[in-house]
Amino acid sequence: MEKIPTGQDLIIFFQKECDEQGKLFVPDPPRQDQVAKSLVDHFNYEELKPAVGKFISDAYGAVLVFDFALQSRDLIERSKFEEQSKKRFKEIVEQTRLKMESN
Amino acid sequence: MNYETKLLNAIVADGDFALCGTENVKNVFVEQKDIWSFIAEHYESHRKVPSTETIKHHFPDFEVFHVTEPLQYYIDVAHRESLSQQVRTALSRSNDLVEQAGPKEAIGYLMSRTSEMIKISSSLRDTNLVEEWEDRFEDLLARSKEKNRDIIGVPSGIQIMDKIFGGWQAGDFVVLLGWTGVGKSFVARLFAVNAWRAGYTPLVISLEMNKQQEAQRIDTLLNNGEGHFSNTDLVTANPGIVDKYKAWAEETYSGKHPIHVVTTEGMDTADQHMVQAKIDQYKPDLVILDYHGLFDDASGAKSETEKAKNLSKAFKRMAVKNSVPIIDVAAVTMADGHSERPPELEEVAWSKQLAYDADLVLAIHREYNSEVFQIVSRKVRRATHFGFYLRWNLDTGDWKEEWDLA
Repeated sequence: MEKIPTGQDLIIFFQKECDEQGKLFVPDPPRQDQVAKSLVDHFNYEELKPAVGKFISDAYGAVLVFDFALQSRDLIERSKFEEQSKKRFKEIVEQTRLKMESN
Repeated sequence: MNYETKLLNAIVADGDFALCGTENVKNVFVEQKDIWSFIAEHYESHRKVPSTETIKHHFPDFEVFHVTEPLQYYIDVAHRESLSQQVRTALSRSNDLVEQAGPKEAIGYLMSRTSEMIKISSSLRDTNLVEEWEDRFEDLLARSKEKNRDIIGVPSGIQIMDKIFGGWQAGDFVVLLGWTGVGKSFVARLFAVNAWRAGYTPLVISLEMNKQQEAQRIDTLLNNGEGHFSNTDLVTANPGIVDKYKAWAEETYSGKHPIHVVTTEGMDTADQHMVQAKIDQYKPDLVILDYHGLFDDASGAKSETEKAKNLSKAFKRMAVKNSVPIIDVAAVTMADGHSERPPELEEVAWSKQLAYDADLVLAIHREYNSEVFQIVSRKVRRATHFGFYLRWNLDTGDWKEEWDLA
């Protein structure tokens, strides 16, 4: 049975992303536990992950889960737009290839 | 005093030579064509209309007239007078032809001359599509017999684009979009170089780079990975390639048609009038403007958005009016940061007008230090959307089209 992601999973994901991108993750308990749980309950976890990745890569200073939460809606929408745009580009390339090969 | 003298005085008083180019003034001069030619040559050499004193010095018989109206007024009068004179001459000649060759020949002559004069007198290209179907048939027949029949314009040199889009056609306004630093200017130069290789004359108006940088970039592109030298060799003046460069350049350039490059050294203003003046001067087959945000707007825009909008409209009209394709390099808004993908149409910086005016918007992307360019159409007026990859070593100039990046 597939495990349902929890707030703790999201916090661990934040920490790993910060480590990989060389950014400072600032622990913020107990607030971050409640904020992370709320984020996971409200949004699709798979849509949250790329938005978190983008948030961390754009961060100049310390990274807090709370700061992400304040911008979460915009970041997730932006992230979805990015993914769709990349997917559309690949589809157009594939359609072009098929068209060229059929000529 | 005839209309030619008045117009010459108005040009000298107003100094707006670009307007003369836009209004095709040269065709109205008959008796004083030599003075007009002198003014045009003086403008080309010094970017300024000569003074009355200078003209008098070279043409002592030149009559000075006190100009009381704007230049456009004298241009309109000159066009009207010139056309009237042509009509009188045509009628007189056809009358003679009736006597000498017969009425049918006179009608043929009149029809031919009338057609020419209508073209001169009409600034808009009015067309009755129903009457002209035979012309389109002849054009279709001629093109169907051509070897490269897919390409009806100046070739881009990229097989995919030429097959699907048909090359750059007269009047095309093409916008190249990309995040900063991804290589938009390189792609624009590639189009210029490929057009030149195909026998066409490109004009590159570059406000970003100086003459030496432009020349090095174009040399590298023409070298096309043949190994004579790299861009780094040219930039660092590598002594080891000097002789190879000479031999290559002699073979590549000797006796060939021009590649016109206009750079900003010594230039005060670079606006739409300057672009028109350069098109008049060089009569190019393809124009590249690099880049949109650096051009000045002669119509006095008060904001960047208004400027971008005015310039977009001006460049589009210029492309149609001069029957020349114009490729405009444009920036993408960076409010949400630099994305790792080709930009979308709504991300064009400052003004959406560019997207409205363009016949083709090409979005370009390249990841940091990557050799792979991602290129995709974001707006295509006369074909279906297309996308492809270019693998391109910017240092050697070697490039090729690719589908599979594995």
